[in-house]
Amino acid sequence: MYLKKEFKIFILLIFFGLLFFLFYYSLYKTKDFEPKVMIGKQFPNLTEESLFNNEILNIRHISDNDLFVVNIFASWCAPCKVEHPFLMKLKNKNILIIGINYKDTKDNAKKFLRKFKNPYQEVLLDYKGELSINLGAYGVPETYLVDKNFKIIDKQIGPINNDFVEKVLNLR
Amino acid sequence: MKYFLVFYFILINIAGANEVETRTATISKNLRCLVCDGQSVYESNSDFARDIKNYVKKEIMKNRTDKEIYDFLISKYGDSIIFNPLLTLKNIMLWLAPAIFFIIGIFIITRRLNVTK
Repeated sequence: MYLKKEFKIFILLIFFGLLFFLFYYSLYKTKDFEPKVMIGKQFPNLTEESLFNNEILNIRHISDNDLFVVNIFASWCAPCKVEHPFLMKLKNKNILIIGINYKDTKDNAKKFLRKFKNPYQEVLLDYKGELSINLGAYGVPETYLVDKNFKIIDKQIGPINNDFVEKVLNLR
Repeated sequence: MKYFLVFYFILINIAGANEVETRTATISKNLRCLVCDGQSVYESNSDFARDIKNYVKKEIMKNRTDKEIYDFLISKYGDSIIFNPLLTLKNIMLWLAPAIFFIIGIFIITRRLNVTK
């Protein structure tokens, strides 16, 4: 009877211990966004006006049957300036980059690209944030790596860095 | 008659606009603002929340059902965008745990009662 009681206490302790670790883990788990939701999915068929001319463009028609990068940016976004040299690095390695200009004005976007140089093959305007929702974006900057079959193979929330550049160049 | 028709169409438009606003509010209240802590899309004024609200409103005006709107947003942002979690294999324990604990509790109480008798 005594052993049985001890066993019950042991089971209870294990149960509460597990509960404690479960809550502790949930409490201290970093609240990262979920970039994985879009990874592995087909890149949406997005059509919008170009920044450089008034043409309506489809992203799928801009890509040249190779790996390409889609970057959401805005002239008012400070982290976009931080990641800009890395985008230029990708461009210099002949990686095609398509820009999505998020809630910006044409003038400001053009000034931004004149000042920091233009890494984009094309830029689509996203005045209302609709393209970004279609991409499952949380804000700016965000970058998608898309393969030649238009499958999203990676997504970076926030500014890209050297690791992202290396990853793209290795996958090429 | 002419004035009556004009008045009738104005009333219908107001009623339609109100319905769109009400549905937008209802859906937005059930959507989590993923860039804010603990706020719904309806409460938040962040860019993300405003974009989602605009999207919801636009889709309602296109006669999309609530389910179609939720399904689209879940496909883009995952289950965490809605406040009422869906029943999936991943969270089945979350739904079953209260029932399991209730049954265990009843079992223990009845056993104790039988012992004391």
